[in-house]
Amino acid sequence: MSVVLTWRRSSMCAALALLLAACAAAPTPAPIGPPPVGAVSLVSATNPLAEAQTFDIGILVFTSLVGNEEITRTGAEIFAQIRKTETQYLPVALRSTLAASNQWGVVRVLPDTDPSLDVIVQGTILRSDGADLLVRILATDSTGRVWLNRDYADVARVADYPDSAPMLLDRGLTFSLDPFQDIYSAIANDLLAVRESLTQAELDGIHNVSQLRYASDLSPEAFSRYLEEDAQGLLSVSRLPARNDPLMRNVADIRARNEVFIDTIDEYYEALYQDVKPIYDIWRQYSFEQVLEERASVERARSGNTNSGSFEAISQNYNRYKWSKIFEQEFVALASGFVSETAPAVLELSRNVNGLSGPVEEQYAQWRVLLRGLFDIETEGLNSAPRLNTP
Amino acid sequence: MTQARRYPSSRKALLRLVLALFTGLCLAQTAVSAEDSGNQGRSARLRPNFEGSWEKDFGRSDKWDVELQRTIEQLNHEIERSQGRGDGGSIGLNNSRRGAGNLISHARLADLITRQTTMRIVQTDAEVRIERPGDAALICSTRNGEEDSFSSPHGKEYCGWDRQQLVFQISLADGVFIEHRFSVDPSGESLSMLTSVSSRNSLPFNLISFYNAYDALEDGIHCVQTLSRGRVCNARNPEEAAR
Repeated sequence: MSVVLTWRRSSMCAALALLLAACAAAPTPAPIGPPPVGAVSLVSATNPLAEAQTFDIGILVFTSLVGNEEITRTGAEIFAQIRKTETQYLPVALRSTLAASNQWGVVRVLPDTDPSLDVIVQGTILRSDGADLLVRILATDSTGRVWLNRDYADVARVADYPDSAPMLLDRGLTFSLDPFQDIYSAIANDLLAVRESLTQAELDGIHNVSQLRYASDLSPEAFSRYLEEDAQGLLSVSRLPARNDPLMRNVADIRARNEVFIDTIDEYYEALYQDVKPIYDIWRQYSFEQVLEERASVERARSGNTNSGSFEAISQNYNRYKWSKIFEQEFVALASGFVSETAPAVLELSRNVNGLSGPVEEQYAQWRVLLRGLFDIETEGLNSAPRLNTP
Repeated sequence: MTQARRYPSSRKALLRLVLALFTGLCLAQTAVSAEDSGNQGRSARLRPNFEGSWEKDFGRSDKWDVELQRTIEQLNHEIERSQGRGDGGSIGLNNSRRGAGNLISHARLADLITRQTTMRIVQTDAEVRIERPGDAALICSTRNGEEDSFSSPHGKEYCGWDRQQLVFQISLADGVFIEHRFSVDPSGESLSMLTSVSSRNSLPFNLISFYNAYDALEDGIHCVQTLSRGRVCNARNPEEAAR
């Protein structure tokens, strides 16, 4: 539509203004999603778990569906950057919670799925504004069994944030507890509940499938025959290689190297988390305050005033409009501050690792190819058909 | 002649005045529309340059009370003329009184929102940002096309280009409509801002403010917004400051 302000538009302005006034008075829609998880206590183990129960978990970098409503908003590209940082930040918060529960083996954050892991957790951020967090979690084990596929919501309260003005906080001071810690605890507890519902045979099956999936990923021709898929698409072990199979020893060697690599990748995400956390905490509190202000604005607009034509009334309305706009502009400036301050940490994440290049996702893919090559070299000369051992 | 017969005619007179004002405006804008539609796709570089520091020229700018008086006199004159023709009426008089009441409120609002004595405008290929002390910045893209530049429960702002003029339209939640229309002199030395405040039941109140370009002191300080430390500034080297 052309900007040219035609007479038709001029004559419709009053009507438009009335229409807008009506729209402005409409209540803000409540976030769509499940009820908040509420206060959740993390179920943790005091004693080390038996080997059969220690599953290794991979949490993939989240994806985000947040932001569709922000595309036309001022500073949209800045908010997109923040969303991207969140997709790397939130998985680490979940990882820390799972590790703190002492219920699992190694828990790592990864850019992509890894067949060596027993359980993979994928997350999608559906809403994140400091006041509400809504994430969709899909957790599957190596056999393809779905552990979790549901949305989790949590709501922050004023008490979840410190009283001090965030701008005045020393950089060294970080908030001790995540305002959305309950959501991570709820996910951890639900994962635990699924694991505890499984029989010992099912738990062993997951371990074996993980091992053979990894072997099959390295050498499909040698190992894919050990796995079979049922009608529901679930994998199971049809037979096991011999215990002294030299190919399996090579697989174990390569897997150990892979673990060192994915530990390194995980450390990078942890470093990003630590670097970003102080800024993210401040940012999230600002965002929380902005959400509260917006909600209060809606209430004020709804309440209206009695003498609508008076100078006092219209100047008051103008001032409300003006302050809502100033607040929004400051918010965009702060978002820009968030991006510029976290940029070094994000760049650090993508620096070269072990001679690999490109973003961390590409390095991870390169590493997988490299390991396959290494496996081929090391298994050269060995019998490509390992001895069989029926389970 | 009874009051009942006189007042409806006065309302008609008022309507005629409003229609005349709008028609004049429409004709001018329709002509502009035809011309501008052929210019779609023009590069943002062809936009007039508003960049710079501007200070109000009080000598040339409208004074809201004088402008209000003039508008009311014009309104009274129109009413008297219509009464003289015998087409006045009580409803019309009441309307005109109410309209005058709104006019006063609108005039005072126009004064309130144009009180800034200085403005700083930053213009890039992508956008024009008008910073006014004590008020929110007016920001608009240099692209063609209308933009929804801001929206809140208290109002909505659109902006766009009307030929060489940069236009911001603000619809407040209570039905008050504000328009700022910026033009810059080809010499780049003078800038005008036509502010119009209106609502459904009243005539628009117009106020023109003129600004002259001035050299703001270049402090050579470069600032970045940060979250943790607020606004962080450092001194730029002379070459960078000169650029």
